[in-house]
Amino acid sequence: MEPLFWIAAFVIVYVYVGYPALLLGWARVASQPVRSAPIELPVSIIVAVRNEAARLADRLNNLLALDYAAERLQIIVVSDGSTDATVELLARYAGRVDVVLLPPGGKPRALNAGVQAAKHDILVFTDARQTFAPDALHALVAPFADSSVGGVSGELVLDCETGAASSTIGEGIGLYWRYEKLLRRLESEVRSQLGATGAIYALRRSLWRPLPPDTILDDVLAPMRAALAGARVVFESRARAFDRTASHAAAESRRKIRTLAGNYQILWLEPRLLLPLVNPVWLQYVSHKIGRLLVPYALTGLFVSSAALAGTGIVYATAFAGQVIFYALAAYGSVLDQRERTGLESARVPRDTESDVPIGKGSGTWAA
Amino acid sequence: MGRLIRRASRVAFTFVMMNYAAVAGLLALGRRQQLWRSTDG
Repeated sequence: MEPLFWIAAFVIVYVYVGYPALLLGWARVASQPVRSAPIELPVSIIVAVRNEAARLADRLNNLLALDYAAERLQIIVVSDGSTDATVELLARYAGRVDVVLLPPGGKPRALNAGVQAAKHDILVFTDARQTFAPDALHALVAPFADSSVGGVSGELVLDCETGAASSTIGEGIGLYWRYEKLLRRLESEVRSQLGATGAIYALRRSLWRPLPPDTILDDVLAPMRAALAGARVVFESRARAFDRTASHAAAESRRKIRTLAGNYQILWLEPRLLLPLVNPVWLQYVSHKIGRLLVPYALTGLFVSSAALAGTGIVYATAFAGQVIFYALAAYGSVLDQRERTGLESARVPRDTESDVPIGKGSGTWAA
Repeated sequence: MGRLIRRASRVAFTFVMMNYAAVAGLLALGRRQQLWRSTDG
């Protein structure tokens, strides 16, 4: 049991403390600055939608109002088998927005079709749910002045970070997201971040490869392919998009299950990621992405081993007691979340449409 | 103190939920549960 305890403890501490500390030191001694410049390259923005009539007008108005020369901006909306008023709404934007209508085929196919319709060499991807800051596109494009940059991820700002929303899950996710963005910023400084933020990212068209139709995380696969091709994928915090956190844990959990399933799927869609001589960000990938997949098993191992060893030494007893307290706090957090959810439902507050689409159901809008 | 405990509880709960999601994600993939939109809509 002792080896299990120490291996499990090492995995957890390395993934959440050791790796960020390593990145901090790495960025301090070997930072690779991006030679950004205020350029205004022609861009094609691709928005893939299904049944987004309720919020698409706001989204398109937001994109059309961006501080960017209209003649250098192509907006493409791909409707993937929408059955609500999405298509009728898009007709109102004729001449300003290019529309691609597809039978239902999934988001990856819609994105592939959007790229085919794109006229420009910089592709910008986003969803219907978020909004961009007015200067977001300028900031997103500026790093492309550096020829080593193949992709740029903007910064997604969640309402729970700004204090605009407060809930049990919001508080936890807000903290997690700030931590995650710190890692992405550091990874970008030393080479490339691992994937991008689906809400706002850009790729050179030359680095785009059509997505397999069952791709779960297009915003990880496409940028990682660019990284595998030798390009940098960098984080640009001035390119901001805004979004809301799910209102309760069940909705956020569904989103996270999908994300983490996607991280497993990437391993067989792009097994080259596991090869240190092929993947230029192999250490970061293993430490960050693979490490996160291993942590739940390490947590289980740590709990079981420390329980078995608690009577044999103060270190194990302290570790076990600490975990009992931690999981008791988590249980209380679950109670708080349930209370908030009950309160929300009894007050009949409308819930996030996307968040309430169960995974595995084919109706409604896309899970993001 | 109560506020601190509440805050720690929220963070601990989110951490557990996210780690649960990593296991559930693998299981969902293993069952070939449909995590993306299907071709038949």
